[in-house]
Amino acid sequence: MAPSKIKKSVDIQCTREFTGWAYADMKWLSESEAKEADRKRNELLKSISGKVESLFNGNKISTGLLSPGCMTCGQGTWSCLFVGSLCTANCFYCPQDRKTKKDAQPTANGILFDNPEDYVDYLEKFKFTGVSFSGGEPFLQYEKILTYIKTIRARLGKGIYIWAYTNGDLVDEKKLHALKAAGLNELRFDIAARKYDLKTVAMAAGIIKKVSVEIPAIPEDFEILKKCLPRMKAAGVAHLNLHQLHGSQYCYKQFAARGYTFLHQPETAILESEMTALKILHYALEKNIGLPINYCCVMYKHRLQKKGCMERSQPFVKEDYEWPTESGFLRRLAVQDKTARLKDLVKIFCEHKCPARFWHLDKNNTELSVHQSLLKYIDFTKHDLIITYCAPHLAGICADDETSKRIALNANRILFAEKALEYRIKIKSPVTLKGFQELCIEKKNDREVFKRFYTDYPLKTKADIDKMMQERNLLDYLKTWEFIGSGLYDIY
Amino acid sequence: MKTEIASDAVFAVPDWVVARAIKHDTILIPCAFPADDTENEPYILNTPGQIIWQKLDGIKSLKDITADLAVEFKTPARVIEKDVQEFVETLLKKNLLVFVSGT
Repeated sequence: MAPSKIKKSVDIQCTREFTGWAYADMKWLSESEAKEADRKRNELLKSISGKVESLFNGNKISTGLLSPGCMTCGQGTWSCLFVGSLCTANCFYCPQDRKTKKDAQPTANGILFDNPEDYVDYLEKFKFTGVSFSGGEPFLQYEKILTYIKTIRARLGKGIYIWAYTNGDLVDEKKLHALKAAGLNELRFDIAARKYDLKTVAMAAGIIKKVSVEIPAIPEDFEILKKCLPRMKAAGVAHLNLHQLHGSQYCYKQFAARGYTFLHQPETAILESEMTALKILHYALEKNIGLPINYCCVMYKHRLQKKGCMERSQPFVKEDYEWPTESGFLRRLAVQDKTARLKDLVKIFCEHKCPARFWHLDKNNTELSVHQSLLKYIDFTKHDLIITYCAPHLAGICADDETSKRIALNANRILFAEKALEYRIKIKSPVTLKGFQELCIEKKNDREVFKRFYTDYPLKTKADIDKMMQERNLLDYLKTWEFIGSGLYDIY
Repeated sequence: MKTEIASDAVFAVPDWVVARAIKHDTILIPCAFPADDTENEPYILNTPGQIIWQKLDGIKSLKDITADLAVEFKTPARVIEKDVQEFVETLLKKNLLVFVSGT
């Protein structure tokens, strides 16, 4: 299926902005190369179709059960605490700054949590069901992790799933026993950081209830990884999580030197990494390895984790006239006009006994935000509709005194819920507006909506056909703000 | 290798295609999702195309349509047959026709 034309151009533009001057040094696909890559990927997907589970709206492919931790991630109830930034390894794919010698304080979602009690208050307040510890190398902060785990278990009991990541460099039996006693459920090893060595993995598997391997799918390591799969199974590995490599300012040069192809996606995912992951899934199924393997693509994280983040903060910033979309954004609908005419609209709402909290007149009295249920009272041959999508998020520092909502975690700690403007568009055509209502509010069948749209759109000259198609593309694009995308992302 | 469409084949305009008239032209728009696949772009029919298209009713075979047109335009059927074949092939490629029956 082809991507929305507007979405594709936005992705390309955002990727160019994100990569800046480095864009020219990176390898990108031409139209024909993208088509060929798509064909090859479809072949791979066909080869594993029916033998894999497609989870979370087709965003995650797995050959078996997911770890309970991965389930909390997909459900949007996972918090990852980055306990420090220093590391014992120097992996070429690390998206973090490895040159810095200064360690970072523990943060989750960019919010500082240097006090375990505050962190547990945060977990409790936002009803997290899964917690992980990452870094840098988390075992450099081993004592700290132990304290956090003990505090979590003491206050939240067994109802929360806890795991930690490690490259295995600092793992020993004593630490593993202590972590087990503190209540760690799972330990995940990045064995790619230690040339696929499984010694510490096997050691941990004899102590910690669940031991998994979580590594990026590295194209050059395909053969090594293939050979490693049965050894992982024998060592007691419960799950293999294969990540898609993605570029950052710290690793893109290494990726470019390896000849990787960057994709126009959030976080510049690597094409060859996706292909490698799919080939590993195919191989494992063909050879009946029996190890549950899941592919965690960049877009899965972008779609599902972002949705989780937005939904967490949404109740604190959502106004009654706004609407939460399936993908986690807040949608606001508004009309602009002279104050008198907007007040006439308000009169109509009052006559129909609509709750006053369902509309809002802005400071200048020139923009009236309305709940979606009030659209039926507005004559859109006389008004345009302004659609705004905002991303709710939590912050540790207040960005705007007027709009930030304070959330008290405890007597000493306050967080702030905010919403950032993501996209705003004015719809002038009543036919497009009806299409938007049917697609995004009434959630009618696409084909039915577009058939009506094409039938009703006013066409006086051939030039109107282009306008109609532009409006049609806009409707496709609006859907990307409304609904969680499904399946692997388009290649371009 | 190009396969010729059998003359007894019957075709119809599928329900996902919207036909719109602009002055003397007819525009066919497939409602497949999403819209910006090149195959899903609107297709403007020329005058002969409009005439053939109106006859693709899900009942008449290509042979019947060719015979009708031969009488209507006083042109040998073998000349018209080629145009009809080409036109149907184009519409099929663009997802604007469906096969109903025939060989």
